[in-house]
Amino acid sequence: MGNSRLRNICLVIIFVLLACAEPLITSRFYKFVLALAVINVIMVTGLHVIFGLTGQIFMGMAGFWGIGSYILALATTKMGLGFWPALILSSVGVGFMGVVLGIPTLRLKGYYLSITTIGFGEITRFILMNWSAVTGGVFGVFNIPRPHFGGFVLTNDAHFYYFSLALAAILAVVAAILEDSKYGTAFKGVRDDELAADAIGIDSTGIKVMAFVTCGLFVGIGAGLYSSLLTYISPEVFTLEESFRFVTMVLVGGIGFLPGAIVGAVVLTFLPEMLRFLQAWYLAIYGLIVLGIVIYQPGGIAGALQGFLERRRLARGEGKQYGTA
Amino acid sequence: MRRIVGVVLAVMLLATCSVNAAEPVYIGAMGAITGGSAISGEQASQGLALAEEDINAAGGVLGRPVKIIMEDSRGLPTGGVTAARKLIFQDNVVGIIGCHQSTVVMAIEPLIRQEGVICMAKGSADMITAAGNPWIVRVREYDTLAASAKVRHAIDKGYTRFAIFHNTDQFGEGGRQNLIDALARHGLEPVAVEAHNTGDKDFTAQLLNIRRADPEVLIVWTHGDEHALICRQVAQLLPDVQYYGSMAITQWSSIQMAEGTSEGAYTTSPYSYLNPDPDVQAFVKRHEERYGRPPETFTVLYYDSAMMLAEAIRRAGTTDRAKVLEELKNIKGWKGVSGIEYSFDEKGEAFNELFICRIENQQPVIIEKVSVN
Amino acid sequence: MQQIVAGLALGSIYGLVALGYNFIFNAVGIVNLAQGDFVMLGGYIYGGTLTLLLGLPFLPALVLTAIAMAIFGIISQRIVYYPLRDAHPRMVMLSTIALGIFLKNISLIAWGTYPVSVSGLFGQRGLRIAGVSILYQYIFILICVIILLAIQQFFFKKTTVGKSMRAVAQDRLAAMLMGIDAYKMIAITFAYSSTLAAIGGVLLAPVFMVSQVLANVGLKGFAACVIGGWGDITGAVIGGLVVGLVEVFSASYISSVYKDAIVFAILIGFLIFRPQGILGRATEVSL
Repeated sequence: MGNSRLRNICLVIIFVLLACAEPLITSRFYKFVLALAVINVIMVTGLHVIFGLTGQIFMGMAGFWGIGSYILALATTKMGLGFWPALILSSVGVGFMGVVLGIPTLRLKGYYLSITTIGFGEITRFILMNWSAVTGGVFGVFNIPRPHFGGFVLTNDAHFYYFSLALAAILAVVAAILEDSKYGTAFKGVRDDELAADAIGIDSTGIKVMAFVTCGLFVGIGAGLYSSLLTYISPEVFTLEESFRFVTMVLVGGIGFLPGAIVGAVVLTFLPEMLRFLQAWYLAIYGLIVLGIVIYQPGGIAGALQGFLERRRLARGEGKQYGTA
Repeated sequence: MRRIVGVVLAVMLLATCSVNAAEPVYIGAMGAITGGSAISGEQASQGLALAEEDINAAGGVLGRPVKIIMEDSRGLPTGGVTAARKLIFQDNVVGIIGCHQSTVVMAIEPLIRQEGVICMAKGSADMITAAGNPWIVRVREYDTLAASAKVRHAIDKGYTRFAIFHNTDQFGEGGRQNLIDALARHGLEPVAVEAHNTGDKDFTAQLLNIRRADPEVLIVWTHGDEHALICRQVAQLLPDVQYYGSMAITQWSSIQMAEGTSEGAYTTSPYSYLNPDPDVQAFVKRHEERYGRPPETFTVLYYDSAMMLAEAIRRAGTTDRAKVLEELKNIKGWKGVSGIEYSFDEKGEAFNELFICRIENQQPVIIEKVSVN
Repeated sequence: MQQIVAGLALGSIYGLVALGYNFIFNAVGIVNLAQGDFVMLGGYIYGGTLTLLLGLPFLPALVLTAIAMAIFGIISQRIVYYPLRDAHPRMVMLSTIALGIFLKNISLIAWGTYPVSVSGLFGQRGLRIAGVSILYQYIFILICVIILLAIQQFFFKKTTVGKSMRAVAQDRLAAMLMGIDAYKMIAITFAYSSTLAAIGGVLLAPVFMVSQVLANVGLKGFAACVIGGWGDITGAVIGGLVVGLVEVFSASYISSVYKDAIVFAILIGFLIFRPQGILGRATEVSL
């Protein structure tokens, strides 16, 4: 994996497909799901940095998502900020939470880190629910505005979609550049063997904090777009199950391969909607699918793709050998 | 699950037999089928299955069969918004019955307004009709109604020291505020207010705080599971306090779960399966034969809503949503299987009366019927 | 006083769950994040199927639940652990979470959405001494926890199987070279910890009822393990009691709505500043 040329080709294909998908989908329902999918793509791009590249199982995505959504919602409706400053504020705000959460990681690894992030997510939800003086509590926040360019407001779902898609593409490029930089190497070093990374002089704690912050900056933007798309948010959404759903997106796509994570986000946004006919069975089957992937296809979609390319290369190579012999 | 599938199949068969193969009229519904409040969704879908059967047995509407599509909101705004979009844009429903969670109704409120779809909400928070959305009507007792009825009943019995114990979700927070307002109208203040989160199992700490305030009455505002456990723990810690519960404690399932500890508790409820009214009893009997237990409040409320919506479509003579809404709001004095007579007012509230019930011998006995005026 | 009793009662429940975590950790060196869901499943089998459906009395129901869960434990280790035995521990973590989601939702389908309520041996009867009341069921739970603690202690320190398990946990390869059948040991481990979960479910059903939410005791049990200190069996129970007391007292004197948040905050505090737990036995946790 990690072949950056393959990654770039896949990214281009994915974003072109996503751009073409909007007019091809006729149902206004699935258009909306597509917009949600792109927002999840942005957030998963953030998670890719911390989980896919750095290998930390971050189970507090719902906390980041919740904080980001609330920052944009409160900044626009209560503080009277415009959409743009509010979006930047939510990105920076969640990035700052990355620092807050990153500090404990100075001493924590593996399970302990994951449990800490579970705790972070749950504490965040309790605060969003119960600190009603600031957050509006369980009644949620209403009338969150859509983005605007000058006087042009993106009330049209298609406009909103392309706007989100453009942001998603920019952020994917940023993530790809980051991955190819020396920081990307450090991220992967920490993921593959933290002790070895320390030994060759990588500051593994600093790298983890940096990964958390990057994740926060990305998720803040996705979360802001989320509350703008829905125009109403309330705190009981941001649960541990949702955090795990984001982790699953990366897992389904393939840990460490950005296009995989993006495909995972799109697939896992559409899957529940397309499987609605399963009704109560859906979540049980979802659990089984995840279990199956972890055990039998731990590389996810990306792993399957790579296996396919590998086999084809081998087959071609063998063919040549026969030809010359 | 197998039973539900069976019912759905039976209903589909029946629908295809009794009415000819005309394009059905679609009615949407939503509730939690998965997630923590899945119990409400199950009750709702049972009511809807029976309603679909009855509507189609009576020849459907406009000479066409009716098909009720129930979608999973998971009881959460995120799930509700996609479910509502699916119902509106995929299934082109005339109206949506539900959701039973106020937050979900608030989350779909902008969409309902924008697309002009009827929403027969089942959330009890005051803000649902206060939002002034002409497309939203409510077929459920609303919180101010329930709160003032409880407070008035307790004050009539001579109690003055009230404690409030509420859930921290939207339902409980709204209830707490309404109770405090209702008490204030009688010049009273609660002696203690305590809260718990959904899913909590142990309430000792809060109940002890309440015990220190020495109340005569404890009003609990929460859902079924928590209610049953609170009843048990109140019986241990505050045996002498008069208990006033939420609608949930009249539910057959809650009474079983409380194992006798809800005995003597009062509550307000839109429905009791003990109501001697023949319409109610006929429905209870039918439900028991089908599902093996009496219908619960959401079962009858979803059933009644579907029946009223079908009637409105018949009266309007079209599936045009605006005309159907107009006819729906013209419904006055509609007798439901809940035992309540629904009359929609200008705010869209169908309820203006409510029962006071008392748990006696593990049964929710109706003590009196109270009305708004 | 009533608070202390309530805290200890609640704490003994968490301690019971913590014993299950602790056992698997000591024997295999992994954390089964579906432990809470195992407890829920035990409760459903006992309450939903054996008691309500088949009408069995308490003891046969308990034994059958334990046997069913032991078999289930062996099957689930074969599915979620065995194929991943050489993979990174993070994959085991994900697979146990996925198993948990599956169990929660399949129980919803199998046993319905209505919480299962059973009376157990004592129903809602309790004791009242000097104004302090406690359910008999809680006393029963506390006694069971102490007995199980003694058994577990004895098992690891005195029996050959127990010693072999510790060897497997510390160094699987070395243990196998010494002729210990490591994979059989791991199967036994899962069988026993699932039995613990079964007992947990049976004991909790009368006080908490059985529903999806019951699985949440898993997180508290985990907190108990961390606070008590991983390698230590007594620590798990003490950790449980501490979590119970913290929960009740923070609900009484700080905030009832933030009590779970406070437990989490203390958990995180322990993870950061005292990862070896209260008892502080110097077992290096290399997760």
